[in-house]
Parts: sequence; C-alpha cells; structure tokens
Amino acid sequence: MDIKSIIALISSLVPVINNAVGFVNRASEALRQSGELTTAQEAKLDAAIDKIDLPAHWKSDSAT
Amino acid sequence: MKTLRFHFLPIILAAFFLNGCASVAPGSDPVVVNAERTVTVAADSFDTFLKSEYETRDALKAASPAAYREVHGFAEYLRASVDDRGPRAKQWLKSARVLTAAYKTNRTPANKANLQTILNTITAAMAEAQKYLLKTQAAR
Repeated sequence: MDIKSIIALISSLVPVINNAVGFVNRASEALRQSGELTTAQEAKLDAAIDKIDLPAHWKSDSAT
Repeated sequence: MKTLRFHFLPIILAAFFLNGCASVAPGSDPVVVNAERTVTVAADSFDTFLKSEYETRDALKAASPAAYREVHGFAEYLRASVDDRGPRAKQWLKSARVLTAAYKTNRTPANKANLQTILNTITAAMAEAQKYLLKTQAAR
C-alpha cells in the first residue's frame, strides 16, 4: 500500500469513525442513566425529539 | 479497507443490545428507565442511519441498485409523514414520550402494556436501521 492509498484510507475513515464515536458516546451516556430522567433532562430529550426532523436527511422524497 | 471500517461497528451493535441490560438505580422504576433509555438511543440511531443513508445513497445506488432500493425503502418508511404529523420515526418517539408520561402518572398494567407496545416497535425499527446502517457504511 503506497502513501497515497494510506492517506485516502485515513481520509475516508475519518467521517465514519467520527459518526461511530459520536454515536457510541451518546449511547454510552444513555446506558449510564440508571435512574429516571430529571425534569430538565426530560425537557432536553423532548426538545431534541421535536427538532430531530429539521435536517435535510429527515426529508422524504415525497416531500421534496 | 472495508474490513477496517467494520471493526468498530460491533461496538454500535453492542450499544443497541446492551440497552436492555444496564442496571437500574434503587427506587427507580425499571419500566420508566428502560423507556427513557430506549427513546434516547433510538433518536440517535434513527438520526445516524438516516444521515448515513442520505450521504451514501448515490454511492450505494451505483454499487448495488438492489441494496439501494432496500436501504432507501426503509429510510423512506422512517421518513414518511403519518397523518401530516411528521416522520413516522419521530411520531414513534413522541408517542413513547407521551405513553411514558401517562405511565408515570398512572402506573397501571394497561399503561405499561401500551408503553411496551410502542417500545417494541421502536426497538424492532432500531434493529432494522442497524442492519441497513452497515450497508450504508460499506458504501462509503
């Protein structure tokens, strides 16, 4: 494998790893939750759900 | 190259399936804790899958039209608006939150069953999303 291939490999892996690490961190945080959510945590979760479909990747083909 | 990409994916799988195995603090209701954990992880997993599908759909379509149809079909199923109230996956999450609140207010077997029904739907969809996420990652 030459240096260009290695750089290409690393470049292609960065977004994938970032996605995976971010997801795993957030999932781990959820798993560490051993008690019921506080009112503030519930409000944060509800707010996140309310705006979850704002990004373009949530838009259906039929809606465009 | 693809082998390397798959090395960390079992971690994601484990995160999904450990969700139901984590401990519950004394005094907390396991039904509520499980519901809140499931919704939290599901919101993230649906978003991760839809984002990955959106970013890789052209590559997947070029690499395997059949896989594209399968993956895109499921993504569209999650995105489809239900009764003009927004995406199906979002409505599941919102329903789970409403049913969690109803259960916390009145912890009856009926409310528990209603909550469990929507959580089962969400969990099944998460498993599907995970399956298709692997295909989108492979297309990168």
